[in-house]
Amino acid sequence: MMHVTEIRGEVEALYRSEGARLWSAVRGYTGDGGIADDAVAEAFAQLLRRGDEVRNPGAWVWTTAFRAAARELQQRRATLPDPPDSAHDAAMPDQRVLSAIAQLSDRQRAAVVLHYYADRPVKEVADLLGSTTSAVSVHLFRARKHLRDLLGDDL
Amino acid sequence: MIDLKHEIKRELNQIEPPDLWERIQADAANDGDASVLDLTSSRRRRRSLWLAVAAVLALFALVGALALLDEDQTVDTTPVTEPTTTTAPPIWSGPELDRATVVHPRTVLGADPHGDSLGWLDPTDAPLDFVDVTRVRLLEHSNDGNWTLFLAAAPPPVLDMEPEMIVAYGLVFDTNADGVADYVAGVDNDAPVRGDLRAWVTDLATGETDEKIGPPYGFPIEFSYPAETPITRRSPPGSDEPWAVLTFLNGPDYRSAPPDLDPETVRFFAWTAVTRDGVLVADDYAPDMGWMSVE
Repeated sequence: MMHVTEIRGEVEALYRSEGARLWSAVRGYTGDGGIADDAVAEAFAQLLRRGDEVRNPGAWVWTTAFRAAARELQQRRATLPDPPDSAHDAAMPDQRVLSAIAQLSDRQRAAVVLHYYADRPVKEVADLLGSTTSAVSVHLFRARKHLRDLLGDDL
Repeated sequence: MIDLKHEIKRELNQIEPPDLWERIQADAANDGDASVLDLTSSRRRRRSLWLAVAAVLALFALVGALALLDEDQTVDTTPVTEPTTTTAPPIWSGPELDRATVVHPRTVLGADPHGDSLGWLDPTDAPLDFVDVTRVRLLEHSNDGNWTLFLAAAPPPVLDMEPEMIVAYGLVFDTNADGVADYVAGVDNDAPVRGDLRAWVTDLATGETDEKIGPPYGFPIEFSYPAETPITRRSPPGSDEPWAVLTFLNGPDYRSAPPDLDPETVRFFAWTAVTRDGVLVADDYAPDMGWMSVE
């Protein structure tokens, strides 16, 4: 059993190394910085509470953050029956690709962000999303096709 | 030419992430157990929920059956009108399985409000409304596989059906896109206890059938049967379209779908049938020719 301060130190080290990338990935997935704040904070707070119960903290926080974000997206849709076409917050003017990604389905968006932004291999994306490699491959294939339709032949 | 990976990173990295460490420590210090997303037990809870729902269904079905026994039998037991025919109806041995290898072109009905389903139209072509599939919907991004068969009309409640009448709703699957059916799944009222239902999946390669008769349901396939009584919803929320739903349950420690059946890639078609004493009264296929596929 690890000491509390030891756990806090390890979790903080993980947060310092992974937190920013995780936050950006969740924001890319949800298009919402507020959801990214909540999901990442929840994942790391849970990790602090659980301590050494979690065998693979690096993978665990990613899965937990994406699950929390997916849950929040679903809850928002349930309460907001007519969401705007693009869920992305319109803070940055130069976000052509992200605006296109926002039009993908949830699963496609998650697969794209985890694979292309977080550099996760398809197998790891499947593990993180609780899916199969074939299903993730299909998501990525369809996502690229959809993005090509949206962005033109530049892609 | 855009490098997708490079462009996603460039655009996402334009926004500086906030430092959440103080908040994380504060959240962790609070007793947040009630809001904790417990990944290790969420699937287990979900399974427990299914079992609880099944238990409630069983309880309601029992209460309903007892109540009906106590009541005067005033329900409408008018037999279903048979279609006019000049030839003897065939003895029914199951849904037709042979299909052309050509994939039926899909008719996308437009994304639903959440953009996560696809639909196929099937024009009215069955002699009985409650076996007439008007369209089929696949919830596209469900790991489980979730198919909805929309019907032209609701069947009579299962407790009101003639005992010799079997009403079935189902799907045929081609898992390897070779045009040959690999699995048949269905739900019907062919059960010893009136009001109970039978859910089944047959592996056509081995001939083996997994089935569950009577509650609790969920395996080998979970369903919503349009004639289920007394409490099951017979139409989607906000709609008056009767429906039948078939779905495989899926989770890290359980999966009801056959291992080679991937809802994302499987070809399929829907079928319905009504038999009386084993003789086919009416059926419908959606589509009438070929396989549906999301590809």
